[in-house]
Amino acid sequence: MTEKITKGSAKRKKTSPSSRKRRASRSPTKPYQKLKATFKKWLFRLSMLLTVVAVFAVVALDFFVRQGFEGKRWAIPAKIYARPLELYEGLTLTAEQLEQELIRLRYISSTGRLEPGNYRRRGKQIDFYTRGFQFLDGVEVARRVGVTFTAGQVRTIYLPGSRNKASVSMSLLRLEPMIIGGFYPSHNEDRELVRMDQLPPILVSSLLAVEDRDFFNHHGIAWRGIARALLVNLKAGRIEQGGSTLTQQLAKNFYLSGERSYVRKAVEVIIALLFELHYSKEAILETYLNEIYLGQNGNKGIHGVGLASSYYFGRSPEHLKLHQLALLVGIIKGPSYYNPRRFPERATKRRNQVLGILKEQGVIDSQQFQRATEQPLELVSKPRSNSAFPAYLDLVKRQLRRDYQEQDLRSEGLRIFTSLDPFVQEQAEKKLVTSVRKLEDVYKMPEHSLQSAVVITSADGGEVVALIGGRDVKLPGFNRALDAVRPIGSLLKPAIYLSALEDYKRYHWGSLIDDAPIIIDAENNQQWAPRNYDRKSHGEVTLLEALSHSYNQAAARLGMNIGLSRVLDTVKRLGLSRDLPAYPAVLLGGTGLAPIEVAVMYQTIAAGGFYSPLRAIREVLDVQGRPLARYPLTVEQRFDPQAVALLTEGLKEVMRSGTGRSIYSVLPEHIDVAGKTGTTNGLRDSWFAGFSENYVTVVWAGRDGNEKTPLTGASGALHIWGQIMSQLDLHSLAPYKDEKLQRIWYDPVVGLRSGENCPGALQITMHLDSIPVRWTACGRGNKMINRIKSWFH
Amino acid sequence: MKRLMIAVLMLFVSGCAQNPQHVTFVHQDALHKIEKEKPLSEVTEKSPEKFSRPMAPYGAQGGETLKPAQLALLTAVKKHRQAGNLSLAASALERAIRINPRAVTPYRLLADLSLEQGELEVAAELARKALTLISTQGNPHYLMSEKIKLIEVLAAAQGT
Repeated sequence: MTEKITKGSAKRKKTSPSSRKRRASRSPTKPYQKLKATFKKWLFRLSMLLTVVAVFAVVALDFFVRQGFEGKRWAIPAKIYARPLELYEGLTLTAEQLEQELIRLRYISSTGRLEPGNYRRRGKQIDFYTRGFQFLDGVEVARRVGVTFTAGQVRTIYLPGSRNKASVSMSLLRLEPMIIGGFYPSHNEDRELVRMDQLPPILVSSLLAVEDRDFFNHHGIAWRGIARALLVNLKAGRIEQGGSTLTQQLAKNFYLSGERSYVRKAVEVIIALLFELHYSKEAILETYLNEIYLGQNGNKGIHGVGLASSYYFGRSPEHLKLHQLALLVGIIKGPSYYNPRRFPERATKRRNQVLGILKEQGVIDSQQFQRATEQPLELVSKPRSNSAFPAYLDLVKRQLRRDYQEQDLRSEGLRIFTSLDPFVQEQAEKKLVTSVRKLEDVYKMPEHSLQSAVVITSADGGEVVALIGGRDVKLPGFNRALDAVRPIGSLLKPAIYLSALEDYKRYHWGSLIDDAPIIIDAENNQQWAPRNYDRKSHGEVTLLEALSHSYNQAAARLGMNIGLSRVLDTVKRLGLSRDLPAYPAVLLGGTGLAPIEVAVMYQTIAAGGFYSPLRAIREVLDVQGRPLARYPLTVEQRFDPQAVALLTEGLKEVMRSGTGRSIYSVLPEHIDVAGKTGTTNGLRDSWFAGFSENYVTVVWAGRDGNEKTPLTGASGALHIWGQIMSQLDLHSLAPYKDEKLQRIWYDPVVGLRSGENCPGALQITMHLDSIPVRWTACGRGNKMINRIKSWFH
Repeated sequence: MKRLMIAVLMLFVSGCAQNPQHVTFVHQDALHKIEKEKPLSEVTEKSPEKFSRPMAPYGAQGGETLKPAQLALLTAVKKHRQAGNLSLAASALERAIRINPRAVTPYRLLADLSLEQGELEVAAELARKALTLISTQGNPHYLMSEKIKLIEVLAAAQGT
């Protein structure tokens, strides 16, 4: 720099006087030139800077675009499924029930040729075309089947034949399961990924014909389209048209907002060019087909053709008909405006317009066009929202959150298979709602004051098949089935009697116990004096009477005789994980439990003394259908099966002659069920827990604020229980045929075996170790007579 | 007279000797043909090192009458086991149990499968469950072969 100045100075020194004069005469232009030079210099610098910035921006954008595209992992929501209905010969199921199941699965009735998702009912025969489904243990292919019924059962399942082929009977058919909910990403996008090879070629050609006919020829930008749009916009004075290619649309959907500006458009163009630079046309197209927004289901956006075809037509894209795929392509233009459920006429018009374009471009011929335009929209009903079974989903989600990260649940596309039986759940919901209203009405309770919760499990294996958290069955919120910890009253008594009955040598159902008032030293130097519900004492009663009539004094005495710790141990073995306080009032249910905890205990009894943890989830698959986790059936023998069988006999007696006897005004006489009522002090809680051969059901009823109700266990919860159970396919408790148990006549007063016609004789089931060796005189006589009689038979 | 008595006696003896294991209830199902079962005598003993057992005969053999749907599932179980997909086999067995929870064979096979997977405690409990199912049905004669197999499974699981 210094050198330049010196040179400059030298030059100046060398200039002649004449030249100085010339310069002096030009002096007015000198500052201008200087300014111009400076401007040029700065302009150059600025443009260089801008170029560098632009290059950096493009490089950064390129990096960002590639990262985004290649690492594009859509947040795929986890889907939660109900149990799939397994159809087999002899299954108790009516044609009406199967039709209901198909409707739940969004099948549509069709009089024409059956296609996936269609059914046709003709009296006691239903023909339908399944959609196919990938389960853990294999794929159920989509196929046409027929099912016939007789006497409330499935008679035959068959694959219909054709002219040259006879029908083939099937022994087992598994329907696809119903989606009952999911875990959705925070932006609430829902989609089902599809690969290009899963899509019908005509869907792709239709899309290209309508949205971007030069797709395979351009490099991401359709200059002609942009020029046309520019002209239209200039004429209109505002931005009206985009002239976007599919690549540009994808760029916009991936990275940009919906704002209409020239800057955004420029960025969109650059991204589109970068897409085309790096990726094949097929990859871009497949991504587009999975990304595109095609509608709204509540707060969830329907993205991609995979989910859209299931959402609108209840079938996978490969099974779409021409007119259906034309509609899908048509609604891309405006999913809300052309919403086919809300605006069917508008949607039909748009569909036909698309079909017209297809005909015009030679994708379809006139005949196809004609046929397709004559078709109705053939939409299926909207899928159930996430709140269809909120309490059950709550249980599933709690279990899942123990085993999976929240983020994975919302983005990894997990497929979660549960044991929810939608039929049982719906019947239970319906009956709970009507029963609660009826109880309020009959007992003159304030409207909407009574609450209730229900848990239903399978009797073997402990699968939760239905769960209701409150009378507002569709409202998520406080889940009483899981969280309402309320005193359980007499529901704990079976644990007392089971503890006694396990000691075969000491106790059996004919053993006598005093039902006189009892005063027990309790904690903190207090005394506990339980009273019977009817405030009366019943003297010496058999254990069977004490249980069936729910005598508190006798139960408390028996419990104390056996020992509190032994009873609490029995409760633990029944499966209760909560530690109960070791004070005497616990014997009569002075402690609180949630309905689900009660269900665990009664399930162990129903399963013959085998404990199984209650399960709502069967298995979890990843997005590709590979198994991630299975929640297998486990059993653990906690009791001698004979002791539990004896207890079940007692609980059956509760239903036949005890506090639960009103059940047979609802259930048929031939169905044996077992159970126990529970009522707490001040009638604040009404409970019933019981089981048939196939279901364990626990019902709680009461008020959220713990106020009094006019309901006992028998008048409240049992009523609801009976209403629900009467709707189910109940299997009567199977007779217990173990050789170690015998049904004998017994005289409880003298404690000896007796005869059928002897005074005071009771017929009870006893373990061989309990059966007295000696007989009453009357009994022995009878025995001899019976033996002689038997010689002549 | 003596010859007649011997003949009658022979008839009785032959009647008693009829092995119920050969009574097979074959379901005519075109989709799931039940493969011909090996007689029990051909079942080789388990290898104690791996707790792997040869696949025992399924379903109807020995007498328990299973529903055709269960038989179809047991066929699938067999295929899964052959392919080494024990988890899928267990899943199919659970389906069979759901169809009829009082059926002994699926429980026995599940116990067997658990044994094969080295889950001894699980196997023992499932075997106990199946044995209880037999006793609650009054130990019928047609379940005796199942009972014997279950006792074997239980003994193997308990290491006795």
